Amino acid sequence: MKAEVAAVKALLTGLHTVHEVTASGTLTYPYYILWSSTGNAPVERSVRSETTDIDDYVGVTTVGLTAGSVRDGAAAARAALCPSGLPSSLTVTGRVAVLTFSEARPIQADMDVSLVSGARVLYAVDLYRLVSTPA
Amino acid sequence: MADSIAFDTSEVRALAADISRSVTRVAPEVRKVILVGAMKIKKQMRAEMGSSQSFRGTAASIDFDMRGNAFYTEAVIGPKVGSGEKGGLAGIAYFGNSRGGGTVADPVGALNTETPHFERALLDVLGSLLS
Repeated sequence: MKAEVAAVKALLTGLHTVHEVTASGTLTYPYYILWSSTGNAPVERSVRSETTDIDDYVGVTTVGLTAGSVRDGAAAARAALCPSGLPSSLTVTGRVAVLTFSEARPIQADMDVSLVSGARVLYAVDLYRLVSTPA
Repeated sequence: MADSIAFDTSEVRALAADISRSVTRVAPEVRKVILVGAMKIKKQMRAEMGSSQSFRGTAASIDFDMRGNAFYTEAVIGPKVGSGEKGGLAGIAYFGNSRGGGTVADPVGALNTETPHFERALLDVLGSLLS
């Protein structure tokens, strides 16, 4: 899962700052938070499936100061991760890893965070399904 | 040579009527299958939420509602939100906020775990249509 997440991060880098799992310190908006589990196995395994098979979700949280910047940031991430809205292959040595856009959660204000100006930070979560098997 | 064609559909109609009666007969059984599946999914979701140090107080809010009529049945499973309910934090548990990602397993995992059992039970019920 480590290599797959690194491959996703590489695709997002250059768009906006990418934080892994948490974002702290001085933050520049908009930014991404890339998060996932440590890699769940497929629920139903075929007799030939490997124990290293991964079937899991990767979350990309886009954080911004306006709804428009969150929409633009999420759209840019989606275009980078799944061009034309199609499943894409990640570059992971020794693995066949496919990323598919799965679900977009609504944009919402983070009521636990307020800026000095009093403005609320907005964020939206996109979920991507990751299926990775040995090459 | 015949100048018209006639189809005898009486057996087809009889079969259709028979299936209609069968559907009415199996509907309560299907409802039971969905009820059992919903209970198992709820149990797993509660366990996953309960294992979180931060969100364990939200676990008890996870429940399900059965809906439907004579033609369909569905179970809506998830944290209850609104006045007097404690499920409001579940969104942050599952999907995080502006400072971090989700920390509790996505409910789709519980759904995926139950799906093979649900499908098997449903096929058993539908198989009874043919017996």
